[in-house]
Amino acid sequence: MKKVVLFVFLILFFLHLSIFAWEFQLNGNYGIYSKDNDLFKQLYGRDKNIFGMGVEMFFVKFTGFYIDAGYISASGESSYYKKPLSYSEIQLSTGIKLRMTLFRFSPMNELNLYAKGGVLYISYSETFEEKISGNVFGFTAGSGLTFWLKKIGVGFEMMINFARKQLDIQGLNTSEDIDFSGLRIVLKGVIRF
Amino acid sequence: MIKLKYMLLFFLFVFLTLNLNGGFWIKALYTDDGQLIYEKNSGYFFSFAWNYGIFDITGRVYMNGGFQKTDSTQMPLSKTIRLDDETFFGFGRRHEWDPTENSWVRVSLHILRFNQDGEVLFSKEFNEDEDFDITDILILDNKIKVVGRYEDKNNKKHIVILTLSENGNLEKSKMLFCEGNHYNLDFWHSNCVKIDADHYGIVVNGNFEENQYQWYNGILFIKLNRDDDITRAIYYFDQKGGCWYFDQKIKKDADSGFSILVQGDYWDEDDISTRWRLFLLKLDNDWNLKWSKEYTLRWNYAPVDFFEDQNGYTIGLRTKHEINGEELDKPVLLKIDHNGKPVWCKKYSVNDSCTEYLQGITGLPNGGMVMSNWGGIGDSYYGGYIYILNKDGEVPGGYYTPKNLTVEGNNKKFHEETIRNKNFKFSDFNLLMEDIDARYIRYDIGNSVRETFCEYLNIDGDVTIIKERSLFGGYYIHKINFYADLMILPYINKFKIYRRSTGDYDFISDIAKVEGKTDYEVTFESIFSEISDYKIVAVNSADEVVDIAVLREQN
Repeated sequence: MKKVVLFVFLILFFLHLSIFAWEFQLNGNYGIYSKDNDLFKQLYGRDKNIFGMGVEMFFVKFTGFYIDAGYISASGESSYYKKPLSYSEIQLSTGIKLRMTLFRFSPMNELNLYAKGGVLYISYSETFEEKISGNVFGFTAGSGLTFWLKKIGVGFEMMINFARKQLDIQGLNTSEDIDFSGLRIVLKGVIRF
Repeated sequence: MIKLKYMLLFFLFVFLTLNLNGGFWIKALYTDDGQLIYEKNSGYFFSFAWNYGIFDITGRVYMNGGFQKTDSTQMPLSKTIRLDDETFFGFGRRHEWDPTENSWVRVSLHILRFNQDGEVLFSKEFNEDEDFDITDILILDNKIKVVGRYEDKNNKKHIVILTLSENGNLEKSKMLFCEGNHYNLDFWHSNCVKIDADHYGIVVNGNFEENQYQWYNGILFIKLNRDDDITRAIYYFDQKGGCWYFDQKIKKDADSGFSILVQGDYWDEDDISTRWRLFLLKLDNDWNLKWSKEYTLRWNYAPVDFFEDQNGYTIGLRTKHEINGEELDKPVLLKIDHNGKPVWCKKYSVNDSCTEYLQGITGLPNGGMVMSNWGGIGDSYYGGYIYILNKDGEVPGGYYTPKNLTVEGNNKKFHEETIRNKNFKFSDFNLLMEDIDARYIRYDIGNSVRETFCEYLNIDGDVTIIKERSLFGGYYIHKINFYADLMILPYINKFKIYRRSTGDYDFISDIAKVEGKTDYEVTFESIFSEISDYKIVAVNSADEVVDIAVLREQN
């Protein structure tokens, strides 16, 4: 009985602290994506453009959920004959986002720092004489800064993806452990409701 | 009983006198221009002739004999064959005594034709290249095929095939050798045998290198037609390894097949000595192996000669025995039935003090056999003599020396010893077989012996394997760069490219020759990162092989 009373008082205490902050955000981003795969770098180059969008929902002031989507495409050349190659990748991720205010310049102007992490799903495809596609699951984590001017925010974000998959190399009598990991650095524009 | 014995001796005496003395036909040796080198000198010549082997005393086949001019010049005949009812061919190496070296030195090679009276009709002399030697001869289609060996300045060994007319004119010459390091064949001991009216065969020993660290020793059989084109080549080898094969004799059997007596040796670590090994291979008429046996005796031994008759095979062995603290050679005969199973094994000895080197053994029409030996006691006397044996290897008549051709031997002067089974054993000897692409063995064409020894026509190159990749796919590119030098280009119409990973070569494509262009590059796609060989076959407009190069990936 004492435990139930204690729990009710604890809830009332948190409510009294006014930590609940229902908030919904939409964002768009654009930046560069560097894949770790050496063969990818050799065939397609080191850094590729990535753009994406996402939504975030906060139920409490410092913690929320996010869903991000990103898309990269690259064109390159095969290793010897320099035949044209094309590659595309759709990255979907969802997880938890933690945020805090670094500076508050006015009640509506502030600089937020956040960290977020979750699961990652990558859908990939490559065209080399014929199209090869598939998907892979992994993890993602990173952090960023957002400067808010009332409802509008701008910032940058850095995320690291971790994903690997054993694949049969088409046309060769071998299989390889393909690394899909990479580093994403983007500029973001955010609107909150 | 005594009368019977003396009657037998009398008949033997008459038999030998008529057949050996009267039938011994070599009387003189003349040079090409008719200069007399040697005229028969009965005693000495006989002694010398006996020393060098055995002959069929029926007069049908003459194998070994000898010519001698003086004490400082000799020429034993290595082999003689009958061309027709009246004339024979033979070859021999003429030696001269070099007092400074205190040894016999070979000064020339001779191919002889002589008649039954011993008159030398011609003597073809080869004395220009000491690295050339004749190893065997045969008659095919009224042509004399002379098989020899040649070792070039790079120590690469070759089979030389000369085709001579009945008059001794050199009509054609070819040289066979093997590509690259794949086969390292010792062509020193090549034999040839007539297969049928249109084909003959050459047998050589050597080793087949699978890679740098693994090789198999074995015997190579090459079947050729009358034009010396290779129609089949088979390599039999012992995958267990450990044994070197360095001599063999092939003979045609009565059942149309062939049998090969193979001599090998291996290093006995326990005994710190070389041990001989003895193999008998039975092949059918298509040269497929029917069975192969290895025979092991208690003593160290070397097979010398063998023959086949209705009772099976008789193998003559030269064996070493320690007698009274001295190691002496003694002849041993091993009788084997037609299935390769030993029947009996006997050792022969004049006495315990005499070293006896077996020279040869051949069958007689009555089922018996004649065995020739050469030997003596210490350095005091060495001479030739023969045993006449019955079909069971027994010696009813003793042994015979050439000096007077009378029966010297009796049962007191020699003894035979039936060797107990525990002294020898035999086992199936498993050989593997690999068919070799006949074109893997290439040849040069020349019009004379000297021209045969010209530098090789040259095609060479290398193979590079490149990986063509995308992120998730790709293939291997086998890039072949080869060149054909300007000497060979005029004779080439196109290049044929063959490839093999394992087993036989597969044809891939033709590459047309471009006039004046020496360097070529061709690429092929493959899912494999490794291959065994690429073979570039340069052919002329008649699609005849001009040159072959086998290329491998360069590490």
